[in-house]
Amino acid sequence: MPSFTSLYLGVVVPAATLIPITMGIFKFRALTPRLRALWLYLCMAAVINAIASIYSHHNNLPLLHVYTMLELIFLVRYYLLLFTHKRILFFLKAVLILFPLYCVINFLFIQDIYSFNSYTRPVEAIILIACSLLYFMASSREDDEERWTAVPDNWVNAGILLYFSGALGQFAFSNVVEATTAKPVILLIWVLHATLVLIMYILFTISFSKCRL
Amino acid sequence: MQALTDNIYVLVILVMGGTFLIVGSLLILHAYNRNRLLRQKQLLQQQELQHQRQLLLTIFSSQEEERRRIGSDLHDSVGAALSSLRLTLDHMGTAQAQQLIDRIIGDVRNIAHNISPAILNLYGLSEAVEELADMINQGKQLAVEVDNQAEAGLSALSHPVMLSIYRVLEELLNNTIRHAGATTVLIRFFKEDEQLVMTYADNGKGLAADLRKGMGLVNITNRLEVAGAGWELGTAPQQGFFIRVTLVLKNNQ
Repeated sequence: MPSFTSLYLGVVVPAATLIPITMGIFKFRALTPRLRALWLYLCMAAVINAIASIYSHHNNLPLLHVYTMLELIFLVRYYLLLFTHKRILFFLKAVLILFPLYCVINFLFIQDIYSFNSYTRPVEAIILIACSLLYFMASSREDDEERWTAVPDNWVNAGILLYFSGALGQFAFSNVVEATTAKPVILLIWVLHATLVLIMYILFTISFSKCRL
Repeated sequence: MQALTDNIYVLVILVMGGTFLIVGSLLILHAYNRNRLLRQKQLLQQQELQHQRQLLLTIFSSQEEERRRIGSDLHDSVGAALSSLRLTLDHMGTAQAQQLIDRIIGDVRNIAHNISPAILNLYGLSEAVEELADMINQGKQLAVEVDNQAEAGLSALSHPVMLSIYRVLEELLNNTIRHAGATTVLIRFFKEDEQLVMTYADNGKGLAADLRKGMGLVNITNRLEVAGAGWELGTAPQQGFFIRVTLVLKNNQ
């Protein structure tokens, strides 16, 4: 009988990707182009999660290196469709080129591809935290016509901000914790991380549900 | 170094939990503030709308007061002067001049009446609408029928609202005569739940798209909005012009 932890980490949270994906399919016609980009990100995440689950009995960390690159590319695509300011768009396009390059350099020359990518994942988190904070700053300056909870992008950015800021510490110190801490504690930290992922997926689901034709 | 790394997982858990709580709280505060600002903005908009309605009402009232004064002056001074002139000419026996003066007296009376309908002030909206219909029916170009099943409701309206409805009907009849090419008009008053409903329908050409925003219709809708009435345009059974006006009775007592 698999333990609660392995079920939660290996099945429940990866399968939870299907919740926003299903809501996205149901509301697809009402989704804006940027929310459709986000839906594609979720589909990619579901595929990677599935592959990771299949290879869960081996060291599947190389997938994480690839997933980190793809995650940033898809989420930056969302922000490219969200923002209109020229300087921000220029910065995002630069990140779209430089970050994957940095990831490749990291797993080829700096960190072992079979270890947690603690040099690239925190950088990704910082970039996405900055993007979501920028969104909230920009939206604070605008005149609202609707309640905060009625705007789909508010829920998306809340999800991104909560997940990446909550998990930043874990990303940065993952290898140190792995090397110095007992397995149950490591699993606890991963459970906390998985819970943050689940919260993000739920917030994405809510954002899709707010879309109207 | 060993002592530091022993507790690294505690720090990581604290940082994860703490960051989540801080970010979550800030997001909730942000959402609360935005909603509060939105409510304030909506309240300001409502107050602005109310203020504009009051202004329009004041303007309409001033216009009506001015009309009443002009109508009264026309009737009292010009009408009286012409009547005296007629008496004078009676003695001089000039038949043609007498006819001309009779016509002028009639015209002045009509102008005075149109500017400020005395019958509305004296007998109320039902009578004023009946009289309006009779005046038009005399011309034989248009047959106006009034079906009034809400006598009490019409009497309960405040004077400004009665005047607005009367002016709206005048404007509608004017539009029908000038643009619609219609032969019949049906005006109905009836009660529906707590509302007084007025419908106006003619058998003319109907409302062209470009006339929907014409000055006449804009004036009509402005008057109705100031009177607190709801309205919807539609197509009459004979494909002519149709409008349905609703008034909440209790607001107008």
